Amino acid sequence: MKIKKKIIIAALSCAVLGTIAYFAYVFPFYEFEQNDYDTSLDKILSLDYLKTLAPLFIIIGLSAIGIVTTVCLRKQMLKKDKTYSRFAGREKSGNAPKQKPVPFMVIRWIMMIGFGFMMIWGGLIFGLKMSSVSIPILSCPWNTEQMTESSCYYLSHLNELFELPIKSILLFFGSTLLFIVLLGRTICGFLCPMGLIQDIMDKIRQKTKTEGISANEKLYSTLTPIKWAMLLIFIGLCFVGGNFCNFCPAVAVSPILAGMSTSLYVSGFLMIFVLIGGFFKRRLFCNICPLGYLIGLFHKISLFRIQKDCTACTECGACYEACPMGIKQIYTERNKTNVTDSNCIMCGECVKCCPEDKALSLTCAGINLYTSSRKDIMSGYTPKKK
Amino acid sequence: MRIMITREQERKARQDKRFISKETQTAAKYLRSIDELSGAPDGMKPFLDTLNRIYVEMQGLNATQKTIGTYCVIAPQELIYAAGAVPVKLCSGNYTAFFVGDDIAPRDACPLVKAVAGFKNTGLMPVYEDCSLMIVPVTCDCKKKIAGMLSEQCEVMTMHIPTSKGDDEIDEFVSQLYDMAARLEDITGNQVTYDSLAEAFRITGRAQYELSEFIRLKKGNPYLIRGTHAMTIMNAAAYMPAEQWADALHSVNDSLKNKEKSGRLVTNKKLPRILLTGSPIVFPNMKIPLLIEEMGGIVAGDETCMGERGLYDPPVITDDSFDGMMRALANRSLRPCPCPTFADNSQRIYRLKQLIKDNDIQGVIYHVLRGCLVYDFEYKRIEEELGQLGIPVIRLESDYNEEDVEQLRIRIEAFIELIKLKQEPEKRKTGRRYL
Amino acid sequence: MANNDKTSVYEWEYMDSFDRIWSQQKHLPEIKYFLDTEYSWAKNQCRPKVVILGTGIPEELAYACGAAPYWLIGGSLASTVWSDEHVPRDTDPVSRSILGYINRQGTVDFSDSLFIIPMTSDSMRKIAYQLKTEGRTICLVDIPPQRSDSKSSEKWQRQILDMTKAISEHTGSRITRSSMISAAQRISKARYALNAFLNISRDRPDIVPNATRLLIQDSYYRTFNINEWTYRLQMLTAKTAELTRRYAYVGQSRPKVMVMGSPIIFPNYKIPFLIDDVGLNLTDTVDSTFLKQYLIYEKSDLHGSYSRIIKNIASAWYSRDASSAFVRNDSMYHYIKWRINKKDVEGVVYHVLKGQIEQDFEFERFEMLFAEYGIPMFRLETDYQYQDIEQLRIRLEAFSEMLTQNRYKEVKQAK
Repeated sequence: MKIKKKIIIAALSCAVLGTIAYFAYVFPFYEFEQNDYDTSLDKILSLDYLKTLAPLFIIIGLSAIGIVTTVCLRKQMLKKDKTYSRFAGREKSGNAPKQKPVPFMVIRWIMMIGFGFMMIWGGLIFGLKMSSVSIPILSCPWNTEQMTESSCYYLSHLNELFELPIKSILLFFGSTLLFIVLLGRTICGFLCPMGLIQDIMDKIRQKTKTEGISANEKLYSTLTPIKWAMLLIFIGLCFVGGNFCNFCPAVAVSPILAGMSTSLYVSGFLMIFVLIGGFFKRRLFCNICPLGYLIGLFHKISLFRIQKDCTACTECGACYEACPMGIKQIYTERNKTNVTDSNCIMCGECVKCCPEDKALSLTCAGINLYTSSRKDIMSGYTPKKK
Repeated sequence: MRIMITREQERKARQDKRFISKETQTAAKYLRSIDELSGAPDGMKPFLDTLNRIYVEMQGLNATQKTIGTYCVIAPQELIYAAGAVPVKLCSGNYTAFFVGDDIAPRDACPLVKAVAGFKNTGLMPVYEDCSLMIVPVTCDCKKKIAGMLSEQCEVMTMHIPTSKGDDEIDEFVSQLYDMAARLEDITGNQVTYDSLAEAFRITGRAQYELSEFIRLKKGNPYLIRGTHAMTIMNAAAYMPAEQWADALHSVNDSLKNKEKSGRLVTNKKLPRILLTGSPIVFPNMKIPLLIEEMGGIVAGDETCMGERGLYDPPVITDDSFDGMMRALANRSLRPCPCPTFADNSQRIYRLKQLIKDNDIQGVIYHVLRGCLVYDFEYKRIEEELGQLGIPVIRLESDYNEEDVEQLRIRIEAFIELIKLKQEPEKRKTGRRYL
Repeated sequence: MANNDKTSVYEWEYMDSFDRIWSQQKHLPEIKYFLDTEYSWAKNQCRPKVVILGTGIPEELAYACGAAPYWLIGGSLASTVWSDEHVPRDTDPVSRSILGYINRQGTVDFSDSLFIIPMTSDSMRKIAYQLKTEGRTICLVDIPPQRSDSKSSEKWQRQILDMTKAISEHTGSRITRSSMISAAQRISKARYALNAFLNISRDRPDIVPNATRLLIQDSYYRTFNINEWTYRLQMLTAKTAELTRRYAYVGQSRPKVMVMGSPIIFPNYKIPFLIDDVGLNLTDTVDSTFLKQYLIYEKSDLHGSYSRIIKNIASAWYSRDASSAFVRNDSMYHYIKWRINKKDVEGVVYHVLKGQIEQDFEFERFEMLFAEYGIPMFRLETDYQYQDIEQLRIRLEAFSEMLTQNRYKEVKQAK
């Protein structure tokens, strides 16, 4: 897409989303009569917890309805097409051949679930030990019982940040930058609870064998200007008097699960969008996440890299098809060894799907963490296994 | 009148007999040469038997299911297995059929297409006659037009192969594969379901796994297996169902692993390692690999579509739905394919460089069939690129007859001498070390 | 020195054909405009924005973007020599000529142009890549070869839409609905005028000699101003009509012969001149370019949004295209059958250029068709060289005698 078109789309979405974000308090999704920001372990184990979880149930319910409706609508549309309609609606009882589980992926899931658990309930269980450290992650800091502070609050409320004492400001920037350099966008792929939710939605889709939206350059180039708009709104909304937290979908996750009754405004609607979108297109929200984009801008100094051996690459495009962020340069690059992109969340899907030995590898400070291997790909087909 | 008819019939019967005897003789001769070539691994027998059965005994596949003929590796075999049929690759290498086809097809057409026309015309080859459907991917002009000619005699389905590999083209190719699956369903009467497709992936996947093991074992230097034998194994894959072929290849792999452990090599000398690339080498047109190995070289790599290229790339499933599997097939068929039908085939040069690096190649022989324009166009660029690496390349143009064997022999001998000369200083170095 | 030789062959080719055509005409000095068009194309030094290789795509779309396209369709022997090192030995002369024109230094400046390349044959595919490596801007147009496929027309429409976008981006001018409609109407007018002219002049080789008629058809692809070309052609048609009324046709009518297969392109007119020499009457050269002149747009085709119009144009073109890029050239087959039924054809010369293998494949099918109707057919394989003229002359003379004998046989049978 031409730059001019991208700028036009960015400006348009900035205007639309910005207005919605500014007037977010006008659209209540679920309002509690009294916002109760206190929480304790007893509250979680009591029936009150279910009341606080009410908006979450509504969100999940509406998303499920939305997904089912979309699938049915799609079936209706396909009926018109002669060839596709033949194959729609057939039984899917068997299983597609799958690779054996790889240590890297297992560790990633464990870390995601573990960290998500710690972020949401860690403070309640273990006490607030690290709460002065700020990690750039989209785990909502309205949950004051979080294990660590989340940078997203002060980054979206920069006017409040500069009213704090110097020490806090330095601690904030220091810890944020430290995590950005050390981990980079691995936070997105290994730690972020929003990422966990989207990956769970994707797993559900794979298990039910529903079709998703496939890799398409036009789709990704439309999402890029929306991402720019989101970043602008994220940073700039506080200066025009709006509150990003009424707009951000992460509010619907962490505080509510921790037991705080928070009223949801536009966030609830956005969360439904995240769930439905994440079902059909893997990690759709991560493609427009402003915080992720911010971290990604520093990818050149981060420790984690994706390395490619261009001679071994056969240009099969599997890495591009598998990538949730739609990074094409892994597939098309023919000369450089370092193919890390600002969008890359280090999920390792490209390395998992690469059929050539040692063509792609994920490295941290030069150490190979995960390398592509043909044997792994073919592990679903080894002899004496039918 | 009746006398004339019977005379016609007699003439045709005589022609057919001559055709059969010549054809079987040539095929048997090449099978013998391959068999007699030293260094054949144990377990070659099933492959030679298949080729024997198809070309010498003139029997068909003897499969219970329907056979579907394909003319290019771009048509995915998984769909054919999913529809409950058996695929057969019908690209022909047969000299006798070529003679017959010479009169039917235009004079400048490539010999592969002439041989196909010849076979179809005589109607004697069960492999061709038994096919319920022929799938012809339109990769070059000759294939395009032969599809038109074949459609007058049997069921033909053409597939449009795009000339570039963008996202839109992949989407269009996916819909092409859906059309292919629909047509296969109509022909075979079976349904292509999720389960049958998954099972088909498993069947071909297993064959591909065995092949990757085989390639890994083949890379060893000095060699465990000659290139001619490897190419025969690949050629036999065209006529064997994937499970059978995978089983046979498994035993070959086992025997090669034993050889590796016990140190029994094909030969103790360091033979010049040659990469063969270009137009496909189809049985029984094995004169070039046989000549190379006769003259003291070894065919260490093979970048032709009847060789490794056909089963090398596995389909990578990124999405578990039915559409996802079809997309995996479309991606596998188009994206890594270095066929010159694509306008931009620079990835073939990278593939060649990969093979050169993996197998430590010292010389490249570029094989062009007479009339094959697409491969001819690419020769100049490949010569330049490989020249920059310091690898000598020669262009061998040949046809489907045995008259040019002597000329080819002389040129190949000269080429191998050239490589040996370049190799000489290395040999002396090792000699001194032993002293 | 070598360059000079090549240029002089180029000049000689053009001059020779011009002289021959000019010397044949008696009543129509108007054809000078068309000769000048050809000459100025051969000699010009322009910087074209849009270059189309071959005739495989609808040119209406190029005109709609405000660019008069510059066609490279082959034709000159000298141009095949200019590209000798870049192509394999077996390439056909049309592709060689096209590549030769592009690589030629000193006259036309192609540094700024967008090349539109329809994938009609293998050589076009590979030439496209060569041009890309030289750093030129190209736009590939893939032709789905099987019309009966469910989605081929849609694929073709998408290719054409992409091509139109590429042209408008490169020239910088936007396509609007009105520019599309006016371009389609302009082209329709030009084609209609050509059709009218051919119908008038086909039966009167004494007023408009055959080679002249072919040249006027060819000049459609060499003109830089299609409006003026149409206007001049209409004047010429009017004058020809008047002359046909004034003068009766004296002299014996010669056997009518049709040339099929590979295109005959100015200045390589050795075949039309030969056919003239041996006493035959060349009515038409029926190749894919010929049938395009029948594609005239009605008002109903040009309705709707501009993308709808583009799609209509594309699908009309696709269903009627008679190029050899299809698996079976059904359009050509049906047209030939129609001509035969009109009793317009007494003999056929099937022209095959060395290396155009797709024409050779179609030859078989047409051979059977003509045998069915008892029409003699003659396969003429040649390239752009002039060395085999004598050989061809002898064979054509034999063919001509056979046709004349056939005529007498028919007359005899009628008696």
